[in-house]
Amino acid sequence: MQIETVENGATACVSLKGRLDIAGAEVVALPLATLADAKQSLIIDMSGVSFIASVAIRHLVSAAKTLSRRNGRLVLLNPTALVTGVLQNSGLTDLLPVVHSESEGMAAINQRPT
Amino acid sequence: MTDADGQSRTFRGTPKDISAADAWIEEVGRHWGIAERTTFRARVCVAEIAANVFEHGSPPPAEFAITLHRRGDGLDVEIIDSGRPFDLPAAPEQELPRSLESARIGGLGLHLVRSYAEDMTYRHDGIYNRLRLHLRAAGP
Repeated sequence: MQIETVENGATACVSLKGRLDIAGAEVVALPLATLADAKQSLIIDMSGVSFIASVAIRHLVSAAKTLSRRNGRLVLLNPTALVTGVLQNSGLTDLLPVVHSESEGMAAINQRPT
Repeated sequence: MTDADGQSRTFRGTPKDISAADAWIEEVGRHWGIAERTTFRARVCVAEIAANVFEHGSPPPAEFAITLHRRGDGLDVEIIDSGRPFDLPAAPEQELPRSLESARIGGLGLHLVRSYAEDMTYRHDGIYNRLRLHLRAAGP
């Protein structure tokens, strides 16, 4: 699992590449938690994620909860159809919004949480 | 890899080996010409069950063996592990989160297995958990 972060003021774009399985989740856990504490919003570029397990979803939800407490948001950019299916089956696509471009992501994070 | 309709392999219940198991299932599915979506669902099921072995198995690291069989365009999967006895088909269903505030950290894995797998059967033979499940053909 590779993780790259580009920070832009209060927002960070985090690009993930590889398998978000139990080993991949260990790689992303601390960076996500750190960014969720430091930033207002996170755009997670999921286009390079080929697999996701619930242990990784936990870390995404945890980061989203941390941001939500400060009215921040976490959005998922361009997950593959298979990964989107896992998120849908987890009942999380309403809680972790999926967007298909960075501009759509910026618009989503500028919406106040409902 | 052979052209046999069945393949088995044993792994340790560590994150590194769970990743290796995932890569192996992907390879077997591709070799057999199983649709990617079907194999992906099998990978999710095995990842969730193996993670359960890793997180709740006693004493760690437990081992788990995976057997894959082709059934039509679907897959039969058997997972045998030496972790703590756990009857997954009988475990209570988790309620899906309705808000971030109420979302629990955990509990999704069993729901994912149930949503993807059919014909789940479980028994504990005194030493090992033996879980069988079927992944029907799910399109490309």
